[in-house]
Amino acid sequence: MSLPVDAVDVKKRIEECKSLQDVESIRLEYLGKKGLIPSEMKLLGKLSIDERKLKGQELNKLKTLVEETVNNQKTNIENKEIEKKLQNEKIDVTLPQQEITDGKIHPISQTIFSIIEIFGNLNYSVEAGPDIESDFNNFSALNIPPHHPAREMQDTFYVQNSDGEDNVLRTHTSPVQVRTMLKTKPPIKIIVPGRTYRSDSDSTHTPMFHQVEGLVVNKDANMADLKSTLITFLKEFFEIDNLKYRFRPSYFPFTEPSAEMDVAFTKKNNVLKIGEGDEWLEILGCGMVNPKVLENCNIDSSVYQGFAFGMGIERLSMLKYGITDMRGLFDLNLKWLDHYGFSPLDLRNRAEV
Amino acid sequence: MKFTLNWLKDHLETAKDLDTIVETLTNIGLEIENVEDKSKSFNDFTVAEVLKAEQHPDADRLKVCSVKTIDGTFQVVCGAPNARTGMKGIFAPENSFIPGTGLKLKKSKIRGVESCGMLVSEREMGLSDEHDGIIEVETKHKLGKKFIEVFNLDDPVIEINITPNRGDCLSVRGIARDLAAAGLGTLKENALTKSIKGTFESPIKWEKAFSGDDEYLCPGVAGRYFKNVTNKESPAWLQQRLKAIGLRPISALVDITNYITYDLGRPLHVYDADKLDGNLKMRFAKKNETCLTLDEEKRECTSGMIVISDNQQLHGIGGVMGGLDSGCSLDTKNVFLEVALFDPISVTKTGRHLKLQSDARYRFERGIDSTSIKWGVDAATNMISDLCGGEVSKPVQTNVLDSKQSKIIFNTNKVKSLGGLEIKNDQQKSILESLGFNIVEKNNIFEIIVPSFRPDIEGEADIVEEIMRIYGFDKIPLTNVSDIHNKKNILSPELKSFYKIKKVIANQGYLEAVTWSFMDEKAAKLVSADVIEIKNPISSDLNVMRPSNIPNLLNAINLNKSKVINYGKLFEVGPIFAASLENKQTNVATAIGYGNVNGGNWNSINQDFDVFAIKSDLMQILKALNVPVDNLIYENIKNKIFHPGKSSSLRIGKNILANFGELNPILLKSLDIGHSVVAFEIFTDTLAQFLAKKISTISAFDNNPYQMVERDFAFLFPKSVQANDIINKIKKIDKKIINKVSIFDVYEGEKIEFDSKSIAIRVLLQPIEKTFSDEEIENLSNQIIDTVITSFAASLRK
Repeated sequence: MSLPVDAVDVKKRIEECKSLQDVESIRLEYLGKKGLIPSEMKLLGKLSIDERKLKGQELNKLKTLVEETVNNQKTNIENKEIEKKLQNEKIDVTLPQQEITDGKIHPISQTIFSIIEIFGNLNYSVEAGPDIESDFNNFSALNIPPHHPAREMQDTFYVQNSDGEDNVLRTHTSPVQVRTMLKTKPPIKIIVPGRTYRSDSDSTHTPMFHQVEGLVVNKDANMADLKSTLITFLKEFFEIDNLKYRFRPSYFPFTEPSAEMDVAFTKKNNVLKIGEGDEWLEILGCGMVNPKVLENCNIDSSVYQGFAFGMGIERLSMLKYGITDMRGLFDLNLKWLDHYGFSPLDLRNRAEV
Repeated sequence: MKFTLNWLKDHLETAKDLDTIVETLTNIGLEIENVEDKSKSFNDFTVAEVLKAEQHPDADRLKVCSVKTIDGTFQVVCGAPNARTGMKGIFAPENSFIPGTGLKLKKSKIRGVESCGMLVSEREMGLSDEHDGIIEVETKHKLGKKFIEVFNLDDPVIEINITPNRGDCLSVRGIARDLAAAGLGTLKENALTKSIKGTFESPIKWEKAFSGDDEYLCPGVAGRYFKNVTNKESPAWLQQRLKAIGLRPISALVDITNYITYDLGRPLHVYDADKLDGNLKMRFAKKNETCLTLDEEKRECTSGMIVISDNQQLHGIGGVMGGLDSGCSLDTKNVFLEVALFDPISVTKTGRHLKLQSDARYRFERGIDSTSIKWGVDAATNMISDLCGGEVSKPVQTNVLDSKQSKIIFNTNKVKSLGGLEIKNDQQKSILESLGFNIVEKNNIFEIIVPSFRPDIEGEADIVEEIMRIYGFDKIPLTNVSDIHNKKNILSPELKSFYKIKKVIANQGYLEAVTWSFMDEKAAKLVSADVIEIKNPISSDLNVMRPSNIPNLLNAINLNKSKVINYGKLFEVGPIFAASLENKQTNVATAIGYGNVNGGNWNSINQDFDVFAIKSDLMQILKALNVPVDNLIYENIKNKIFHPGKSSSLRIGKNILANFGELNPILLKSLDIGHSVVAFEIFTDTLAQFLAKKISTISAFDNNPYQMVERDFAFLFPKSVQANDIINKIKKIDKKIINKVSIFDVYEGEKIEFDSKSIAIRVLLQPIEKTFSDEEIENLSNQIIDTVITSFAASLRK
């Protein structure tokens, strides 16, 4: 008992077909209602059980073979037709794409983000306050006496005030320290980034600039903690582990003792390199909060002490990002903003992926 | 404060070199501003002799000189008219660096004749502007003698920044005292303060008209009379020191006062006694009194100022400047001296009012030694007698207000608790004593008497600083400042929105700018009536606080046009100001967009940035900051910044969150902008409420399995109907089922009536419990149609 066709021949016939119609006619020949396989199936009933079983298996095998081969051949023929069509679908992919304008974060903001991140990791919280300040918050509370040169009209901007008292555009972010001490009980641990104003305008001074100040008040913060905090910050900010620095005595009315910190630099081919060399660049002022300032802010200086520091954000930005012209920071030159700006995804984070 | 190394050594016995001294000064708080050590930069220049000077063969004005130097004889081509055989000048060898020109000298051929080295002019040596001829030195100077020795420039000049609290270091002696305390040597006896007795009574006396409450303004004044002095040029050593620190020598009497001002920090004045009428008196100026000061300016005095007068006229302004009429000249024969004390604040006020700065004012403002009234007279007497001869009267003085001795009870543990540094008691004591403090020690308590020259020392913290700065800030140990406990919020919701919005807006393709908080009043008044004026603006076009940030950003447009950038998306996050606001300001994120932002790409829609483009950005930004944008309520803008018909405010509850739209063409015209600009303003503080939520409150995902259905409708509406109202009305029919309502076409024009518009709406329906039946869909559609028609007087388009 054998089938009237050779499976290999059938497969070969299907695979030789050039068109879908040819494939279909062979399919009908074998699988159609009157095709070979259904016809043979009908005859199975007349055979003995053993023969029926054997022949039935062979017919099913053939049926599967034909079905698979037909499907494969149809796909082959279709794909060949698509391929032929694709040959005529060539476009010039070198045409320029549509340019999406990039958004950028200003270097001053990027610097502030870095500062917040570094001090945030040391558990400082961020505070803010108004740009238009009272004389008390900006000067008197900070132990800057009425005759101090900083109060002169050539240094401080004054604004009109409906209630007759002179208001100032804050000359530093320190009035926020005063506000915080007046409303919060120690421990206090804050940084204050923000806009500040001085009546100064030349190649290295702008009438508006940015500062960040820090204030820590508790029962035991001392000069060693201050020095260590600042070094930790500067190393992290400039990403230099063996930063060469100098911590030297200075004077501010609101701190006692007072200090300034310098970082070493070299200048080669007009490019500043921070952290090493024999020249020094002043980078921040700091000190232990003057007990008079604590008392002015209703904090008992016999119980509490603390430190404060302040630095210019423009200078930090310029040093870190190699910006040479300070006035560029306040310019509206779109090319400049694009050149020195940062992608909003470019976070300053050591764990960045 | 400038001084020279040799001058310092008058007061400090030291074997330390310049570098050590300079480094120490900065380390103890006397920060070095500059050190000019000519012994290094001028080392190459020496005395040389011109053996022969002959005419250059090819140039009338040049000479070929044979110059004998310590290193041999060189041929030098020289253009100086005074170059001649036998003279001595200063020779700069090949490869030396010429200070006046900033160039390195190279061997060259001048008109065909080789020239090695150069005979230099004063300008080339940086001595003066003189360049008509070369420097000639007296022939007595030996060949090879250094230029700096011939000109006495071998004394390094040190300049330091003195902080305002250290009036005592506005003197060479004060600096020497600090250096001695820091271990660099010993402070010498002050030779100038030995007492000289006078031989006769001074014919002129000092008087003062201050008593009671005013007495502190001029606590006292002393002086004496010098008879038959000879005023003349000062000796060379004195002239050189004054020149080195930038002062012009005038005559011995005047130079002495300047010298003592710098040497001992004690300002003095000398009057030509023959030009005075009667006694000199310290008193308040009268109204409309004038004083002709030494700088030849007529000064208008006001009633609070302290002046010095005789019977006739004013002879000086106390603590600031002396008068011209009684100033000493080379003809002066008899001299009357002033050594006075003044209140620092009074001197500051007077100087500030007169806009007059002087070395005297600078020192009085910072506080001078209250005992100097005594030793100041001695110092002046010693120098005047030495240099000008003559006879000295007995001293005269007014009564002098006793200055209180300042006492501080100091706990030595304070160095550790405040300074974070262990210093032993005996070391603390020796530092303080070397700085002039007197100490009585009782266990850990020092009873300290502050020296009269340190009025800045007021309390324990000052004492800690004194001890630490001399001991060395570099010895402060480092501590571990990491603080992993006490976790708290770093940013308040307000600050979080202020900072985060920058990243979100930049992410929409905007460039961040930072512009002044000030602006021009004219432009400001165009956008607001509530404008805060600056009393003393930096310039007339930056004279008010900005009431909006849009005008500042608009400045970018024309500025960048010249760089052929005709489109832009720009933003700033910062304050705007108005008297009516709380704290007079509020924070705003402001953005503008203009031009074809796609830059005219072949494949892009050639259309300018418009209201709906910026609205799209705005909504993306608000969404990113958790604002439920579907709940925003549109409201007409109540300001003159935006186009009244093409803008809107967005409100949730009582708060306006944002404004957006096209800018008012009147504003644009005033800034010379001839095309449309769109903008938004987001009031960042109002977003805090949305950022306060914790991220962990996200609801579970609802994977609804039932088939959604989309239905389209087109209606004719009266033109006044607003799309947002239609969408909200449809949504209200069934908030659960009606998943999304969108508008896919808007038409106004000829095909429909003039006062109507056609809006095509697509509604997405989401079955909740089972798939919709045809009937249910039909019912919902009818409900939508009925609602729209009745609510908006609309009709369904067929």
